[in-house]
Amino acid sequence: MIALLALVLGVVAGLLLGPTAPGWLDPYLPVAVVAAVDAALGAARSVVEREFDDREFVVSFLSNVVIAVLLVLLGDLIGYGGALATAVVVVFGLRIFATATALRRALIGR
Amino acid sequence: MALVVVLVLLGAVVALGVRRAAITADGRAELTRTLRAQVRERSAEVSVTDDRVDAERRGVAASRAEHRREAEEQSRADAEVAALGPTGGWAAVRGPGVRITVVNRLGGGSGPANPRSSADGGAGGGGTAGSGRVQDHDLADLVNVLWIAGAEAIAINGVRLTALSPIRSAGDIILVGFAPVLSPYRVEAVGDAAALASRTERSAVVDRLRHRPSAPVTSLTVATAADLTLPAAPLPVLRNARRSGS
Amino acid sequence: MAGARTSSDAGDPPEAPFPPGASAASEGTPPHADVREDDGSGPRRPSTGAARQAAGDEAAGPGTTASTSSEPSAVEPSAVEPSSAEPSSAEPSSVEPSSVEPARTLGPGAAAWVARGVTMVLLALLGFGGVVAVRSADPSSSLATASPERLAARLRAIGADDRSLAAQEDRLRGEAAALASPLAAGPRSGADAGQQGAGQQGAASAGAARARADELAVLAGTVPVRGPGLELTIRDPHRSVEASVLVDALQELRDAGAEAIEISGVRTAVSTYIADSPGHGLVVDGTSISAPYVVTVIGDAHTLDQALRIPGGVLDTVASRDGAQAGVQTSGDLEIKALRAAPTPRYARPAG
Repeated sequence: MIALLALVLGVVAGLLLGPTAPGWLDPYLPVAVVAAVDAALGAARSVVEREFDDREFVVSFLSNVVIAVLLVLLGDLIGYGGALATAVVVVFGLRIFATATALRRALIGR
Repeated sequence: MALVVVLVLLGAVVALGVRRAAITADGRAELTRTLRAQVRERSAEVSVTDDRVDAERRGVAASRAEHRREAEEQSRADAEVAALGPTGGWAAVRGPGVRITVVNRLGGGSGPANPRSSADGGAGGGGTAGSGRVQDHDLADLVNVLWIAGAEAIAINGVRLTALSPIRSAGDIILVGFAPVLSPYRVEAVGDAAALASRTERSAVVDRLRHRPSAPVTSLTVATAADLTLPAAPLPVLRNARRSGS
Repeated sequence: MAGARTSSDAGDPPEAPFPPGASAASEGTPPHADVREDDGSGPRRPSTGAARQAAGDEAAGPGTTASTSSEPSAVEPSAVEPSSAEPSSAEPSSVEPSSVEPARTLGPGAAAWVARGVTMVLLALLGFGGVVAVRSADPSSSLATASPERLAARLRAIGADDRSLAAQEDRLRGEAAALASPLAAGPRSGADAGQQGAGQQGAASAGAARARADELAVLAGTVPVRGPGLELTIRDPHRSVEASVLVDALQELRDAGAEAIEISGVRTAVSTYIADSPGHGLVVDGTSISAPYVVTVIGDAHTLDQALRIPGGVLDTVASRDGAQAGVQTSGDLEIKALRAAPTPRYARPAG
């Protein structure tokens, strides 16, 4: 589908252009990516459940990323930088697993 | 409402973050420079060490290979020595064979030499068919017969014969391998005992020795032995001959 | 959770402070948005047009709780997805006028395409960002742009490498030392291995063993040999030279230090015998030979020569045989190529 194509396009662009993130971005980029992946997986699930809405996806994508980054930032400020970032990633990881499970059930059939 | 509070808090967090980033920017830059220099330096050191370790590893491998080669060479050479030693006379052997004992004459003492044949009668002193003293050529002929009969190792009075062992006289004394031997002469040969004994009995030299004047027939006995042990000769030193490449 | 979810929000407990999208639509939407909701239909099932307008209204609304783009634009993540921030912020602004104005004239189609476009962009950004993140985590990335954190991590890694290399170096040095010491030499150094320097004992003992093996091979006649010596030629036209003459000659030559002898092409050894072959000459070690007999001897040429000439020696003996003649030719370098097979004893065995 076109959505997958867009994803692939982005990956290809990233590989070809090959930039590396500037240093100050370093703690935030991975967390943002994980948050975005969570949003994307949720979108996939809703596609399978035939309830996808672009608007929902965009909102959730952005809010996930923003919240994740804010949390890491907060963590840096209060001195819990690494731990909080880890917690954020863990939580998103759990959500990803839950989504994946639902996705699997939806695909392989109830 | 709660929403406003949350938003305000959020704004505060963000503002704090920005401020802090600004404050620490310089420090970070300095730190970055220092760290970068350190990384470069340590990287170079590690690279040098890595090269050293590589060289060392190659050296150890080469050493090992050389040791292996030497060990193989050594064991090959040792095997050759072990194979050629016993029959060459350089290692002690045991086995069945014959023991030929011949005395100069009963009652000891020695008399004039016993000529080998009429052709030799004129050579050297005498020419008399004198009483039979065993001579070097007698022992040499006896040994010759034993080799013809298939002996695999021979010793005279405990002196092992090798490719370098002459049987010669110095005056009245017989020297075997440059060592003097005295009557009674004990010639031991390892091999097929029956074949050795029968061939020896039929030989001209035994006949001649048995029929020496003034020596009874019993002055030479041929006895088979089930288990003879012949000692090793001292290891050789070659001064002129060397293995040639062809 | 992302996308559109229906009411089963009980399924996702407070995992994100703002379960984005759907639940905002289905419950807890700000009163403003509710009030502005024209459709009246429950905003839960987002049909395209109405929901877009609702989103537009919500985004435009001051008290919006949907944590969309307006806020993050100030902060760093906007740098990560600047283009995502913009279209999103662009979206409300583009959607808003259409909602305030006759939005319905633009039709749900356009808004849908815009939203779809944004989705595509975000997905592309995700791919892009993923690659960038992966690349940035790669330690071989440029030093110049690295943050102190990454540099510190790099230093730690280098330190670990250094320690491991130092350990390897120690181990290898130990091995090299062990290999060089005399302990590494073979246990059988043979009776001839003399005092050798450390590290060379292995080579020396192998060399000594090789030399010893070569000597025994020369004496056994299994390898060719060369050296100084002489050639004794016995011409015997009347076959008057008997075997015993050569037996004596053999003893004389050995007595004079002969180290290798060949008689008319037959290599001699300890078990060499010479027998008469009546009417046909002689037999040496089973091979028939006939005059002239050529005896090649390797040893000290002078000593050998003298030994043959002593009164009563070979030359005299041959001379006394009818018609026979002996001649001697010394040489500084003779080669004997005749070989004999290695012996295979059947009765003699090594005695400890």
